[in-house]
Amino acid sequence: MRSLRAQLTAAYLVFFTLLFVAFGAFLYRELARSLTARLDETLASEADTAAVLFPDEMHEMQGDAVAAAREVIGELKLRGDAVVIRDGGRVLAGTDRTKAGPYDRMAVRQVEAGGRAYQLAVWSAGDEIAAELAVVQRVIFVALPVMLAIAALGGYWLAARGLRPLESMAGQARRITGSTLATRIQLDRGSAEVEELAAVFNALLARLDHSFDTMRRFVADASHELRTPVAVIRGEADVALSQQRSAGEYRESLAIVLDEARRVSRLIDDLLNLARADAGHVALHGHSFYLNELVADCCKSVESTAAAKGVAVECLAGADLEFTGDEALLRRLALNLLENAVRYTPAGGKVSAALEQNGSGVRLTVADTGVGIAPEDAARVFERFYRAGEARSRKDGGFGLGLAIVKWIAEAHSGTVDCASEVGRGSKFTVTFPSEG
Amino acid sequence: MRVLLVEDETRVAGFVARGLREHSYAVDVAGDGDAALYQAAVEHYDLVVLDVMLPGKSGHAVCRELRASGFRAPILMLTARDSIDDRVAGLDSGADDYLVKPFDFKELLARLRALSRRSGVPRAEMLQAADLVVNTASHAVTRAGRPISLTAKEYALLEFLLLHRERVVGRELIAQHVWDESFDAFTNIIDVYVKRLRAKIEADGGSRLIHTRRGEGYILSAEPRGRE
Repeated sequence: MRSLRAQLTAAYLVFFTLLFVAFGAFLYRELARSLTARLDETLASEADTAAVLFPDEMHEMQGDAVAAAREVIGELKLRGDAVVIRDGGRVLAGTDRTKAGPYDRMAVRQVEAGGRAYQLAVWSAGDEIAAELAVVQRVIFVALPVMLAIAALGGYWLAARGLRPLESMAGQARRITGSTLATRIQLDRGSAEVEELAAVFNALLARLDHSFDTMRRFVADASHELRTPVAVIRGEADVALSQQRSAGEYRESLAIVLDEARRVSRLIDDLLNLARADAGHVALHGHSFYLNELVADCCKSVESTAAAKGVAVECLAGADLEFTGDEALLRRLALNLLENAVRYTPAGGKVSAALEQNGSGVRLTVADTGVGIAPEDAARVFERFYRAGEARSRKDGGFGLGLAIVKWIAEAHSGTVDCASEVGRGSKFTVTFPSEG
Repeated sequence: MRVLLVEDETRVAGFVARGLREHSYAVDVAGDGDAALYQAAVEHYDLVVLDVMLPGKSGHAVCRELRASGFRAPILMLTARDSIDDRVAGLDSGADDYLVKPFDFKELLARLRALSRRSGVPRAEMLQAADLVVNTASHAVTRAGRPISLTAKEYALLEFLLLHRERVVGRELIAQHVWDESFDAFTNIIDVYVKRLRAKIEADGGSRLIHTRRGEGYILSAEPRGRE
């Protein structure tokens, strides 16, 4: 990878080289053309003068063409190299054209004198033009590298100046780690493009920061939830083993240990499920089954817990309803909703589950007459480890993961779940699946 | 040593209280912050074990309020959160030590011993009176090199008397630091325990160490006393 600065400088240099070469070539050509045109003019005017003089001299010299020609040449103050006057093929006077230079020019006139036709030519080898152009050429060849060097330095400086905000951004970005995600890229000054880049970068950082934060909180919550039962298991066993005890005492300790171990494994299952869901690893084992039977089953399995609390369970599973989906996950969903409802409903209350099918899809409603959820909590109940209110502490047996799992399962079946609740009156959770679940 | 255990998780409270009682601590349990503040105001505690995650008032708030009310006994915070920030917040709120759940019970005991040593007069691991030697870490008691087996309560009483040796301690003070809130002031349980303790440490012809001061209480002294 070549540096952008070097690339920009090189591009700048190539551009200026082409520009200078084109300019030099144009200058050189135009100069050559104008110098040649001026020489042509000079030669033409001298040829015209000679053409006027020659017949007069012929007359004066009584038809001696050679003498007349010599007179003409002598009288002319030539700027051209030479004049030649010919009578047919014979040179009367002057120097014939000898060398052909690169800018060799000639003006020719036909002159009538004494009844004969003469040829008169003024010519120049163009040495002066060549010399003048050589000077210009030399100037161009010396100036070009100097100007290119200056252009390269300028280009390098410009590129560096343009890239400085990027370098500063890179330096700041390099210092950002997982624990300093709250920092943002600062730019003293920068062009609109660079500022946009910084803004995009900062937005990315903000998103990363947020998800890191969510993850950190999740890990802290998960470790707290795991530590408490582990503390009980360890502590209970530790204390039980510290001295000789009766079989009854051991049994009591072991029952506590077993119960807490079950709790830990349930929590681990929940966490694994959510982690797999996050990673997108859960394949739905979709097949066709009767959803109404599943709902009725789930109602039955919470009935004993509910009865022990003095809570009635009403199941309105309705007629046979064939549904395609992951049966195990949907069972988890229905159980989580029902267990939750029973958990937060005091004695004398009622929990009811209803399954309905209408044109647009299938709807499962689990309602209770329990403690309800305050409106500010209702939106957050589907968050992980979120327990609404202080009444819903660990003593109730929940981890605060049940509803997060419900939401995940519903969404995995392209369904939705929402919560309507009134404090003191009860809550209603509605899961809706589209027709083709 | 009387301990106030503030913990809302009944199972954690259960094993901690049981373990501490078996190690001769008198333990009272408070389930939330307000109960803890009330208990601390009406009883005399030598140590407090305080959970951070309490319903209602947090452990940090309880700790600050205890310190603001002039509560002097060492406070050990117990928590499932172990980030540096959590520890700093705990110590800054006035706690003396910090223990993360899950923990080894031995460590909890060692930290409580360390905390009780730090409070007030520095305390030696070995307490001694005449030929009676008590190891406060292992709770081993020997008289003239002969080991004596004591129950947790007997040990707690002996340790308390030894810590105040050559001083008269009243029954009320003993009740405050050796018994928990279930102590019934209308019984003569302290006298019963003193009698049992005497029987054990003064068996085999050992000299009398625990003396009764009528109307005042008891004194543990290596020097023979006339008035009995």
